Amino acid sequence: MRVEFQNISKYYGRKCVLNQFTATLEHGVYGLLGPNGAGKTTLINIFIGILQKSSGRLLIDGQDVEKLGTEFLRHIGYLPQCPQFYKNFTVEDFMAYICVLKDIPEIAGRQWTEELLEMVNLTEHRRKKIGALSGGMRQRLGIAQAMLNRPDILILDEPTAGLDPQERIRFRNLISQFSADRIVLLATHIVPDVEFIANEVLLLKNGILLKQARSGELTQAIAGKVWELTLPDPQMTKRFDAMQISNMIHDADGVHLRMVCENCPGEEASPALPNLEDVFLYYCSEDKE
Amino acid sequence: MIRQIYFEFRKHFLKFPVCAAVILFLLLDAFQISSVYQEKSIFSMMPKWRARYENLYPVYGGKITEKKIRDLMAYYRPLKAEGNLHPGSEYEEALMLQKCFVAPLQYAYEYQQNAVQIAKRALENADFYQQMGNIYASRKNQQIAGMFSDRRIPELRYTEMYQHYLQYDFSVFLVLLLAIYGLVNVFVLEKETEMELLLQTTIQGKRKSTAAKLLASVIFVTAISLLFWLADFLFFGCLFRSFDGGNCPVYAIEYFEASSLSMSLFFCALFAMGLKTVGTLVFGMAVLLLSRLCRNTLFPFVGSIFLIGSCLLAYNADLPSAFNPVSLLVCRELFHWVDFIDLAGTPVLTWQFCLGTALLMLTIFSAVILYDRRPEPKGHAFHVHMKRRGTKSPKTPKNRQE
Amino acid sequence: MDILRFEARKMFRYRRGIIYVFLFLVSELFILSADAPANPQMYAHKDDCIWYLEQIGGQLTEEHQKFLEEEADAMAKADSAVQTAYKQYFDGLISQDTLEENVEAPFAALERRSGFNAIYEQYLYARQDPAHRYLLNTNGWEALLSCNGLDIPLILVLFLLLAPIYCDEGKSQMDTLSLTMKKGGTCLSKYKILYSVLVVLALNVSGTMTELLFVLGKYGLPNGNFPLQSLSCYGTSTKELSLWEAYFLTIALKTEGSLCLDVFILFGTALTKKYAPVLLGCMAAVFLPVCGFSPAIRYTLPGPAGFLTPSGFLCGDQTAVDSLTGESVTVFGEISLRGLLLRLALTAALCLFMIAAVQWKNTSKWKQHSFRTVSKLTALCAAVFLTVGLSGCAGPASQEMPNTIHGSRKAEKQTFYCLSDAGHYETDDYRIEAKEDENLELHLTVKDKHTGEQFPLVRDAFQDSYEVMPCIYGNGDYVYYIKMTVDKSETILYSMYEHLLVQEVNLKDFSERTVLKLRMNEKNLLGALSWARSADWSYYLALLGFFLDEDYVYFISSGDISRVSYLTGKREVLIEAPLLSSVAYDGQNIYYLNERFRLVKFSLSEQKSQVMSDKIMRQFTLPLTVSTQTENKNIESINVSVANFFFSLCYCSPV
Repeated sequence: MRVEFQNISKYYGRKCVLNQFTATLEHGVYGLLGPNGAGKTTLINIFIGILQKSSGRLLIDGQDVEKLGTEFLRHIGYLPQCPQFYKNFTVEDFMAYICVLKDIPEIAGRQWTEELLEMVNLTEHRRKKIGALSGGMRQRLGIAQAMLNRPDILILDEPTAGLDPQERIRFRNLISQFSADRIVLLATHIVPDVEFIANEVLLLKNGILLKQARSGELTQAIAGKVWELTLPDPQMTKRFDAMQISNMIHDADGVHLRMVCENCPGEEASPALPNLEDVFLYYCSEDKE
Repeated sequence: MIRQIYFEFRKHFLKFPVCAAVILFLLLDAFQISSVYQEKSIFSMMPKWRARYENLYPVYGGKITEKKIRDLMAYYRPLKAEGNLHPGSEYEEALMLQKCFVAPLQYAYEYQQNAVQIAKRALENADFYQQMGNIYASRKNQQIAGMFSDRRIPELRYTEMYQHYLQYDFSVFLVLLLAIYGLVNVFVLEKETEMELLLQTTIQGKRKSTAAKLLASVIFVTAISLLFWLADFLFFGCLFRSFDGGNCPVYAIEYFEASSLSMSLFFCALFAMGLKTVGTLVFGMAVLLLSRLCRNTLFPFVGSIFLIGSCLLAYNADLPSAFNPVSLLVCRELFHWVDFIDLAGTPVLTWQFCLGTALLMLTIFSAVILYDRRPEPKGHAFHVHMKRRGTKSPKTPKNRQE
Repeated sequence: MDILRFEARKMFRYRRGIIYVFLFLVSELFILSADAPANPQMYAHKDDCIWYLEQIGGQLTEEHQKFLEEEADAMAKADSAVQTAYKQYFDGLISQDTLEENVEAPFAALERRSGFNAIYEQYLYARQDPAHRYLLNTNGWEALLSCNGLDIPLILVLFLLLAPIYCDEGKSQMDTLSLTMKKGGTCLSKYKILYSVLVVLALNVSGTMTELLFVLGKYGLPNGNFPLQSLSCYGTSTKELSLWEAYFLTIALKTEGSLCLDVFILFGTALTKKYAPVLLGCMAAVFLPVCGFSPAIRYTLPGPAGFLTPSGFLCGDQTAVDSLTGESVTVFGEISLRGLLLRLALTAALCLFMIAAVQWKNTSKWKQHSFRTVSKLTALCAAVFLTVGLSGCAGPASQEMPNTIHGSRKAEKQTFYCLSDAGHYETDDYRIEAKEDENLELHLTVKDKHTGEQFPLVRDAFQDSYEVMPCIYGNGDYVYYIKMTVDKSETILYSMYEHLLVQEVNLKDFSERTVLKLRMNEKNLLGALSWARSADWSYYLALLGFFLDEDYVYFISSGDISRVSYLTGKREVLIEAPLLSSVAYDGQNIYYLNERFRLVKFSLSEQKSQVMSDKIMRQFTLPLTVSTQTENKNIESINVSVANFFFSLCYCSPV
C-alpha cells in the first residue's frame, strides 16, 4: 500500500492552513508531529474525507481517491480525537453497529469483534455501556472499531490525549501491534509517543511540511546543536532567556539547562545527544518562524 | 457581579442566531401588523374616507362642545335622510359621518351620564350589601363608585391605532418563541460543554454564577419583550398614521368602557407593556427552570412548548386564569372590565391579583433555580458509575483534555 | 436493513422513543374522547335518520323532494291533529279513550319526527345544489373532515423522535467517524432519512387509524361515494371529490405536511447539529402561519403549516358581511386542484433541496464529485418543481374551525326544580321573580317576604353592559341566573356576544360568583391549540330554563334538554322532546312530558328514559304535582318512587 499526498492545500478564505503538502507513506507508523494549529487535524480530515481540500491530489497505490469513491473507505480505519461514541450502547452493540456501517458480514464481524476486544483487553467489559467506560477503555474501544475492517491505513488523531501513563503505554503497544503490514498515521503533539513507535516523522508547522524523515535522521540532523550546562546561580539563567531551553532542573548543584541552539551558548556548555523533543523545539519554536 | 452578568449575557444571548431571529421576527411582526391594518382599519377598508375624515376632523374633532354636536347633527341628519332615499354619495358621506363621528361622539357624550349611573348604582349596591352584612360586596361596590363617579370623555380623538394596538397578540408568540430559544440553552450549555463541573471549582462559579445567569436571562427577556412591544407601538402608529388620542382616557375606546383603569391611553399602552413583560418573564423563568433540570436542549424546548401550549389552551378554554400567566400576556382582558377577586374579604382587582401571583411565581421559580443544590450534572453515566464502584474520582474535563 | 434495525434501536430503545409514541397515542385517544357529534340531533336519532336515508338517501330527486314535502305535510297535519285532540281532551270535550283513538294514527305518523327534522334540515341544505349535495348521515364524515386544527401531539412527538437523529450523532462525534466507513456518510444518511420517513408514515397511519376506528365505531362512515359538498362546511367547494376521496386526500396532505416537517427537522439538525435553532425554526414554520397569519398566507406559503391543516385546501369560497357596507365579501377563495398541485410541487421542491443539502452534508468529500452529479439531478428536479410551483401560486385560504370554552363549580344542595318555576324561586325569606316592565325590559327582582320590600337580584353596577336571560334556578340559599356579555373588541361598529355566564347568588348576603363561563365568539389567543368549538349563542338566547348539579349545567330549550360540562364546556343533548312545556328535576332524574303528554323519567346515572305513567297530563311539578286546567277534573294520586323519597303525582282527566 502506498499513499501519496500531492500538493494538498486548504484555505479558509485567504488563510492557508495547509500549504502544498506533499508526502508519500508506505508501511509503518508515521508520526504527524507539529504544534497546535500546525494543520495536523486538517490534513487528517482531508485524508478521511471530512474536509474538502482546496487543491491537490491524494493517490492510493497510484489511484486517485476521488475516483475510488466508497472503495477508498474500505482501506481506512479512523479513530477521532476524544471520541464519545453512543453512551447508551453496550460495547458489543457498538461493535456490531460499526460492522454494519463498515459493511462487514455478520459472522466475520462477530469473530473479528471478539478478537479485537480480546486484543484491546475489553472482553470482560463487552456488556458495559460506553458511558460507563473510563477514558482509556473508550480509547481502546476506539482503536478496536477502527481496526474492525482490517484497514490498510489506520488514522489516529491524538489517540493518547488525556490518558494516564499506564494507559498511554498500553495504547502505544497496541498501535505497534496493529502497525504490522499497514500504514498508521498518528497525529499528535506528544513527542515521546512518536519517538517510541513511529518509523518516520512528518514535521508540520503552519500548514507546511518541514521534514519527513526517520526519527534517528531527524535527531542526527541537529547533532551538535543541543547543549547542556549547569549554572550555580539561578540568576544566571537570565542570559539564556532568548534561547530555546528544552529542559531546566533546579537542584543543590544549581540549575541544569538543556538547550537547542546553533552555536555553543557558553564555555561551561557541553554538547548533548539530541532527541525528538529537541528536534521539535528546533524546528517548531516561535522564533524559528 | 455586573461583569459576570455581562459575560453571561454575551455568552448566551449576544449571539448571531439570537440577533438574527430577533430581526427576522421583527420583520414578521411588521408584516402581521400591516395585515391587521389592512383587515381592520376603517380607512383601509374605505380609503376614500381618510381625506374626508381629515377635512372634517378639525371641525368636529377635539374638545366636545354643544355647538360641535349641533353642527354635526345639522349636517348629518339631512344627509342621512337623503342617503336613505337615494343611495349614492350622500349615503356614503352619511355612513362615514355615522361611523367616524356620530357614533363615537354619541358614545363619548353619553359616557359621563352612564358613568354617573354606574357610580350611583354601585353606591346603592354598597348600601344594600352593607345592610345584608356582605362586607366584601359592599367594599367592591364602593370601589366601583369611586372609580366611575368622575369619568368623562372630554374630547373626540382618532383612537383607532390604540384600539388595535391594545388588541394585538401576535408579537406575544414571537417573544415567547424567542424567550424559549434564548433560555433553553442557559444551563444546558454548561452541561453539554461540561463547564458545570469547572464552574463548581471557582469562587464565583456556584450560586453567584447561577444568579448571574438568572439576572442575564431576566434582562434578556425584558429587553426583547420591550423591544417588541415598542416596535408594535411604532409600527401601529406609522401604519395608522397617527399617535393621536394618547391623552384620552382609556375608556374612550368602547371595549374599555367599563375598564378598571382610568389612565390615559398612552399610559395604558405602557402599562400593558409592563404586564405583558411580567407574563413573559414568568414563562421565561419556567423555561430557565426546565433548562436547569434537563441535560440537553431538546427536552426543555419541547417541555416549554408543552407548558406554554397547555397554559394557552387552559386560557382559551376559560379555565380559571388568575394563576395563569397567559392572562398577563392578554392583559387587556384583565382590565377591560371591572373585575375583583375576594382576598379574605378585601376586593382586589383581578389584574392586581394576577400581577401578584405572577410575581410570586417569578420569585418561586427564581428561588428554585438559585437554590437548586446539585453539585454536578445528574446522570453523567461515567461519573455515576465511578462513584458507585468507589474507584478513583472522575477526571475533570480539564484533565481529560490535557 | 441492519442499519434500519440499529436506527430503530437507537430511536425507540436508547432515546426512549417508545415512551413518546405511547404518550402520543394516549393523547390522541384523549383528544378523540373529547369529540362531540357535529349534528347531535342526527346522532341522537340515528335509527330514524337511517330509516329516512334508506328511503331518500343520496342524490335529491324530484321523488325524494316530493316524499319529504309530503312527509313534512303529514307531520304538520299529524302534529296539528295531536294538538287538537289534546286540547279537546284537556277542555273536557273528549274522553281519554277517544283521545287515544284519535291520536293513534297521528302519533304513528310522528314516530320518526326527530329524525325527520334532522333529515329535513339537511334537505333544506341539499336542495340549494341537488347535483352535489346528497342526503346522508354526516356525523362520521364531519368528524373526519371538518376538523382543521393542528395535531399538536403529532408535532411534539415528531420533534422528540426526529430531532436527535442527527443531533445525537454530532454530540457523540459519530458523524465524522461514520464518514470514514463504507456504509456511513451518505449511505447512513440515506437510511436515516428513509427511517424517519417510515416513522412519520407509521405515526400518521397509527393516528389516522385510531381516528378512523373511533369514528367508525362511534358514528359509522356510510355513503363514502357521495360528493364532498354534502357536508355543509364544504358546501361551496367546486371540487369533484367523493367523501372517501376527500378523506384520503386530507390524509395524504397531512402526511405530506408531516413529511415536510420531518425534512425541515432533518435539514436543520444535519446542518447545525443543534436543537434550539432547528426547533425554533420548525416551531415558527408550523405555528406562526396557523396562529398568526391569515389563511390565505398559510395556504400559499410552501412548508408544513398548510398541509398540517389540510381541510382548507378542499373548502370552497367563504364569504362574510362587510361590517361597514353590509355587502357580502369573499374572505377566502377556493384553492383549485391545480393550485393544490402547484403548492405540493413547491413544497416538494423545497424538501428535495433540503434532502440534497442533508446528503451533501453527510458525504465524504472524496465522494462529492460523484455526489455532484446526483445533486445536479436533484437540483434539476427541485427546480422543475419550483418553477412549476411558482408559476401558478395565487389564491387564498381556508375556513377556520371554531373553538370553545367553560369553567366552574357546583350546586350546594339539591331540591326540586320545575320548568314552570323557571321564572321564579322562593325561599322562606325571599321570592325571586323574572318579570318584564312596561318597556319590555327584563328584571330579576327579589321580594322580601317579611317586609314586602322589592329590590333587583342582579346588583351589578354594569348591568347595562350585558343581557340577562329570563330564567332562574334556585337551590337552597342559592339562586342562579344567566347573563350574556357583548363583545366590543373588534371595532366600535361591530358587536356580538362574548361570554355566557351562569351566575350564583347567595341569598344570605347576596354575594355573587360565576359558576360557568362559556365563550360565545371564536376569537382566542392561539387558534391552533383550541380543540373545542365556541358555543352556539342562538341556542342560549332561546332558553326556557336551566338547572345544575355538581358536574353539569342543564339547559332546557323548546325542543331539547342539553347539559354542559363545567370541565369541558361542551354541550350534549340529553333529551329531545317537541313539547317541553313541563320539566322537573329532583337531583337524580329529570322528569318531562313526552309528545303523548306522558310523564317520563330520565335517569341521569343510567342515561335512560322510562315512561312513569299512562296517564295524560298537561303539566306537573315536584314534589306534589297537579296538572290540567279543566273545570271538571278528576284528581287521582299515585306514589312514584324516586330515589330516596316519595312524591305524589296528581293528575286529572276529564270525566
